[in-house]
Amino acid sequence: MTDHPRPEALEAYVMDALSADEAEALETHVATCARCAEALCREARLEEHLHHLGAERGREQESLRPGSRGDLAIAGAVLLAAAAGVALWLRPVPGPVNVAQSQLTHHVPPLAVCERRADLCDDPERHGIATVGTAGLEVPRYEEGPPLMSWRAQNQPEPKRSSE
Amino acid sequence: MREGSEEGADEHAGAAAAPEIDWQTAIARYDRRVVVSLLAMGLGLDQAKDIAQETWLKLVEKERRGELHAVKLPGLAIKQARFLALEAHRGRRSHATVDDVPELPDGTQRIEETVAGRRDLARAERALAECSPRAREVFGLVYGPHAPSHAEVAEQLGMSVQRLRQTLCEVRKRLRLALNEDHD
Ligand SMILES: [Zn+2]
Repeated sequence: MTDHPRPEALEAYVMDALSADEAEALETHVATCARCAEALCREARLEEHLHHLGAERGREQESLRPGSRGDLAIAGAVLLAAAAGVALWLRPVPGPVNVAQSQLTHHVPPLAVCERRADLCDDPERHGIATVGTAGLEVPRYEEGPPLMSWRAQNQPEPKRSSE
Repeated sequence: MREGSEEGADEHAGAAAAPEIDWQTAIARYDRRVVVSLLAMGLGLDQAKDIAQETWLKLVEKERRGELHAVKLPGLAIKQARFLALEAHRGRRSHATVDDVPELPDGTQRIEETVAGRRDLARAERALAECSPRAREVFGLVYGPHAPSHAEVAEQLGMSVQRLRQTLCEVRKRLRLALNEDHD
């Protein structure tokens, strides 16, 4: 077995900051080393945790800005969602749903086109439409729109439909 | 460490006006993020990589069939990957007895807790308050909702990718400690 990678290398791996060769060497080692596999899992959890915290933090800061463009985005997105008849199983969330702030405030454009409905669908946790079932976090249930319908878990109850 | 590995990201970010997706670039840019999200769920590296690959195949197929009307990455890929992971978990469970069923990888629950709770956010804020303004800025951009690459953030802040990553590692170190307070 090769030497255990340094903690910095595991960190760089989850941040996608290793070269292809470095990443491959690390993966080869981790595949045969339970200790490093566990360390990599911890590092991955921290990374995911930070992404969610960062997103949450960004939303909080945005929502504190009165009359922000985000407010307009919320209103616009809500109207669009209503017009599209988007049927979503919403759980109660505190405050307004910051639907499409990112579309107006981001510094770097997203990779591809993003429609408003997709904004809602794209980050279910963020928009409070993810649900927690017996198996943990479940994918959200979308009734409208062909792209994601088939993703609904088959053993989940039928989602509520909103009248159109 | 890779330097400026996300070269070309701006070009593709600039492709926001075009509906076509450059999957090769998207995969190169976001595959690790997808794998990491699966590792965080408790999957092994091999399985995470397999599911990530399946994720991209499914997305490409869906797009070719005209079933993807809108794509926002990496969120869509991460969601698809988590779904496949949960399905794989359910598949195993259906053939197992109650006693055999492993605990669901707690990464998913952890994520939910993170979003729902404010405790970690408060800890993160305290830890970030001890960082330099530049470090806070780096964190806010890299881990903000828009998923820019390190190269994009470095360019935006007028610093090298290497310097950005050093700063990021310092912030991560503080946050790692702050978020692990309970376990110490
Ligand atoms: Zn090892």
